[in-house]
Amino acid sequence: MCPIRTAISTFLAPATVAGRQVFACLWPLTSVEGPRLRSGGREGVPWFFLLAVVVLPGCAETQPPADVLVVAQAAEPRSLDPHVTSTRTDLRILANLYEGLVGYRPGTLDPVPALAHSWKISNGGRDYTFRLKSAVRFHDGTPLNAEAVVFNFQRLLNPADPYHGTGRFPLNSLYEQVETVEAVGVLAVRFRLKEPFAPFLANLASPSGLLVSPTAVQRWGKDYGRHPVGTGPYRFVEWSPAQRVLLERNDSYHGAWPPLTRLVFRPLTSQMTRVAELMAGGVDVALDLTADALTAFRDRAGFQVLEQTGAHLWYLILNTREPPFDDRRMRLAVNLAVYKDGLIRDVLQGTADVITGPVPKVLGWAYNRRLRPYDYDPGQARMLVEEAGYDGARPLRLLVPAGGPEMMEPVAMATAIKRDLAVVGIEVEIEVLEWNAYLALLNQGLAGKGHLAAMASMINDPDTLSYQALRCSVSAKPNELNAGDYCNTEVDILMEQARWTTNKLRRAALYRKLAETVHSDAPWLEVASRREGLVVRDRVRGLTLEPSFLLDLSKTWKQR
Amino acid sequence: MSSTIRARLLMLVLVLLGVTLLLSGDLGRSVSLDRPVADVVLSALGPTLLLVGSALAAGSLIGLSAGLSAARHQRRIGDRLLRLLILLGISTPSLLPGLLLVLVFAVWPGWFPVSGLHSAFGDGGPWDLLSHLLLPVLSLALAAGAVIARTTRSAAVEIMQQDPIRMARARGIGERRLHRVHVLKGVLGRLVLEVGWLAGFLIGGALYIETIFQWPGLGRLLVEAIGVRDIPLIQGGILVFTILYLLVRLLADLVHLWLDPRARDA
Repeated sequence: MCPIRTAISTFLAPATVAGRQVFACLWPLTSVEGPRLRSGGREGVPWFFLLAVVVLPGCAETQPPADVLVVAQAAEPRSLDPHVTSTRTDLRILANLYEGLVGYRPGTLDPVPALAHSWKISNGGRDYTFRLKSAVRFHDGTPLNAEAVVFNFQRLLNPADPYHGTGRFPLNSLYEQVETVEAVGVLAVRFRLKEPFAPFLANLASPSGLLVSPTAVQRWGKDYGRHPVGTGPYRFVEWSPAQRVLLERNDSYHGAWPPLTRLVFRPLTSQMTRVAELMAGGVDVALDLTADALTAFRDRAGFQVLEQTGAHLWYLILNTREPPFDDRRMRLAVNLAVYKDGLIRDVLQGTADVITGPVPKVLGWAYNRRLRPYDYDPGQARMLVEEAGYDGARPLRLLVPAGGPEMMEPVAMATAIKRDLAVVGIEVEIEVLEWNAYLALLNQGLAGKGHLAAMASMINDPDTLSYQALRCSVSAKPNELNAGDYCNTEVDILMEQARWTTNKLRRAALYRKLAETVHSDAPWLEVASRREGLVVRDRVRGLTLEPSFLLDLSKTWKQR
Repeated sequence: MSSTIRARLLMLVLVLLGVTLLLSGDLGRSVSLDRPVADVVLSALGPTLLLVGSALAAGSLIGLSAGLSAARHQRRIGDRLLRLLILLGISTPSLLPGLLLVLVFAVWPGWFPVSGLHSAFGDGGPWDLLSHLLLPVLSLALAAGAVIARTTRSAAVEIMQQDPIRMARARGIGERRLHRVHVLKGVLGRLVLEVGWLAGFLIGGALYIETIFQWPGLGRLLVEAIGVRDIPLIQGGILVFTILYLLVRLLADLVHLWLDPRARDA
């Protein structure tokens, strides 16, 4: 029952006479006689008309029914083609539309079978043969077979493929080790790599490995990103720009049917609106909220805040080639001088965890649990600074971007770090750059340009970042991230070995050793791993956040 | 060549260039949305026209009623009250009533939807649209209504003292007819120009209101495009806004010509 109608019948109707008097003076177009009310006059008509206009739509359905979940995100999707997009907001939708050969085990970033029910690694780690599940079809009826998989990777990787031009594929560098992809049976595909490359499975499990329907790509060409067809638990229905993306349950899904019949993703770019919608009940799940908003919902009845730390690293690159940070003591001093718990508590409002070494904690299999983060110890730091003979004649330059993906709040963080460093006698000056200009500068290396630089990355395998950012041979090469020019041949050897080792346990041991060495060399000021939070209404059940920050809604349901 | 002439020529060339691009339908490709700018902008035009048009209509109705009423009860308590309200309405930035309306009518009681053009989960329909339209229109219309009311009141007060009105009164025309026909017609003549100016004001207000209510229109599009530095989209949006504004002004001038014989002679 609509509350406003009840209110009117009990309260407003008796007040109507008074209302008519008030209104009559506001309505000289019909009543020039002014507020003097003649009984049975026409003055009441517009009043009732206004009431009708205000009241009737007020009874519109403002909350979604129990079988529909409405999710509010901060941005309009760019494309729903998993090979084209890498935006978080898009990927959250894709995770419900598509599946890949390999997926993530819930709660981890470990590759597990998805559309492939098993795989075999042979030829010394160069051949990966996947056996596909049988009788799986894309939403448009196209069967999922070896041919479809080959089509996907030909489109992605082969510039000569007729469908390579149907999109720009920024993430195909994840598969640059792939030499050939061929069908070795109706339901068997073999990837041959140029050399053994152990992170391959993890890369395949990332959203760029989701499989699209060949028929749909052939039909829509460049427009495929607006007409996505996958094999996932939900199928695409409609995309109204700036309004919603609507998905519907895939009734021929090969796995367990999802409890919800429809999913709605709304791009609500203003956080105020996301919060207001959530409070009013028009939205069940709100994402991309700032720490302030999460804090506000934490103790509020009727809502739940879900959080998950991601495979994310926020750190300052130290310029290890030039003084003063060519001296390990100075690098250690920086790590000891910065009060990371305080940074996380005050600047990030608790939405992060302290990191230790170059492997984030959620990559549990490769994380080195014996490592301890550098404790906050300004006394020790000051001693090290003195020992290193640093005079602090000229302030050091700390470069930060004004903002950027995964950068959290770079300027505020840098300001707090500057304060902490000043305490131990290291003066820095902050230079803020626009994101693209910043990346361009970092790609040329820090030498001669700065001493510290903020950087952040999301990764899906311990190899991803280390190989780019900590390897000797890649320093100051375009598109590589070793801006601080860190070089330790021992680390290089460990990385190469880990790439060649397909045995997960042996690989993990190598990464643990690597983390230990890097942590002790301290080429970075290790700061934090971002924790993503979202707010759901209490009646939403079965929703968990993944370390991949994807949003799997196939098991989510709502209490009536 | 003087610098003003050069500046004007440059502007002319730029506008011509913009119009040519618009006519050719090619405004470039939006960087952030990966769609042709012309498509994006045109699909956002409808909701904006609906919002601004409704707000203009509602604002005129509110403003005209309030202004005429105030003028009629000049210097009495009703007039003073209305003038206070008008002053409040004019001085309040349009985003404030928007936020308050959302809180009071949508978030707390859940009577109205908080945002959007259509229900996110329903299949639409006229009531659905109306319920989504009401709060944003009201928040825009309040400020517009205040501006119109102020003009209306001062115009009506002035007109009521003019000879033709006193003449008409002397001839025994009823007050009702006097106000409805004679005063109103005089007021409308002045108001038309004001409304033309107001359209620009409302388009500006639409930036806030569309953002607050997440209305899928041009204003929100422009704000978001600026936020992500999507230059082609910003250019396209501003071009369409400019053309829209010029058209409204032109229309207002034409209607003014039709309503006010003096303007025809000039």
